[in-house]
Amino acid sequence: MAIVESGREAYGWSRPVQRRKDRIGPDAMRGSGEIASEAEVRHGLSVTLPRLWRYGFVLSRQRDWADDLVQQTCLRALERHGQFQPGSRIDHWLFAILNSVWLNEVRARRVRFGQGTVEAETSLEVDGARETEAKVLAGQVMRLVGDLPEAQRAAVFLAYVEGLTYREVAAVLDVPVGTVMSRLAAARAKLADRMSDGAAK
Amino acid sequence: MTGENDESAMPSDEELTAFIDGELEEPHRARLLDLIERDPAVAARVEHLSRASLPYGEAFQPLLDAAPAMDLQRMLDGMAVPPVAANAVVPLTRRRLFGAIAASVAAGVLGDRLLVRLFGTGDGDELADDDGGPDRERHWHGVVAQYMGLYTRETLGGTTPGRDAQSAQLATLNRPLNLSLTPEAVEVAGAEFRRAQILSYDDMPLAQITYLDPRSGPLALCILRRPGTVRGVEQEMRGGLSIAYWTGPDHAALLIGRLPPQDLTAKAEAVRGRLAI
Repeated sequence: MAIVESGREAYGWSRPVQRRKDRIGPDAMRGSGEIASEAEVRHGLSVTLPRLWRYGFVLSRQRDWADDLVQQTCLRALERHGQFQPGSRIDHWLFAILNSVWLNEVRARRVRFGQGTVEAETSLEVDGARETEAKVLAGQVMRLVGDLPEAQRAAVFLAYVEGLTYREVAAVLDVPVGTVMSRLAAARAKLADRMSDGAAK
Repeated sequence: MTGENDESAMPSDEELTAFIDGELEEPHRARLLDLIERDPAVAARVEHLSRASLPYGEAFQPLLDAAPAMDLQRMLDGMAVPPVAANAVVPLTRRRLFGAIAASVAAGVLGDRLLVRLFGTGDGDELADDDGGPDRERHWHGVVAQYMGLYTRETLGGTTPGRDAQSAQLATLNRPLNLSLTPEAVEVAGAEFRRAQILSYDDMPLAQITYLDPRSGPLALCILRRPGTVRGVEQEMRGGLSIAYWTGPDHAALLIGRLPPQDLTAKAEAVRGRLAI
């Protein structure tokens, strides 16, 4: 796990980031005050940076866009630190900001400059992921997900990689739960078909 | 959704997916489980959809490792919101920042000249030196980038002042910087003039002329009075902002904004051709 367990003051919560298997409820990350401090948000950002970058990469499929997305997310989060509800999941709040930056600014900019939305300069396959069987499989799964349409890709990533519940995914993407269900079902059908066809080679 | 074929009892893919994902509420879940046991077609569909239950967490782990964690952390550490926060007890929001700027006007700095002091954030001043090199000559770029990073369309939401008002604002920059700026000279293609003001960097007067580009958002032309070597337009990125910069014998200038470097450079070349610095 690349998440850094910070030794810093935890600002009222113990483990800001956990893996999906040991998913925690919202109460586990209760902050100390009613209004989040900038330091609190900064700390939340700090421990979530690699996951934000990963989400940015899954959305944009390009490293430099992912860098840019994380940077914009940090800026927005720090600017709006007062809007964070200390009792809620800061990682989900940050995902939602990143998603909105992607939809409203970065992707929009790319479309506006005529660069299209589908080209992926860097594939989701990470360099050198060919050595071991496990890495081959990882590359295949990432490629399968990477081939999904953007909206389905985001839902699959948040639900199946980050382990968010449907409701949480809906909150991050700012869509109804029914939309999340449709996207996941469509993605699942597509992925299952490709697995059956042996397309994941 | 699965086609509603002959099996009218066939639940939708949404329901089956929610079932597989453990998202169905209890009465619904039990009913579906019962259906799966009784109806082979439903069971087959669940089995098919379950083929997409892949080891996603493990598969995407390498992407976490690929994240430029150190760079991102440095970027975050160097991100002052706003630049004056380093000296402030209370973290400043944008509103407070502009309040602080207003306060500096209230302090009556040099008559009608708005004087805003720009300074780096010390050790964590990452934006000020993205290259990692000790490039003092371009240090001010980072400070400007940090400041401009705070600008949104709303910040420059006003209207374009008339030519006379623009000239009057520019006149306040001309004397301290020993320039002769005119509205025509500082025009930026495709962007609307918003405001000209004096900032200060390292106790040197710094002219800041802001524009709103309908396409990319805030833009600024900044000119620092500082003798140096004459150089043509070069470009760099600071804190996610493009900068096109050049120097004259007595001044250094830059154009900064959130647009592709080549677009910004083209605009900068045009300004450089009209602007004697």
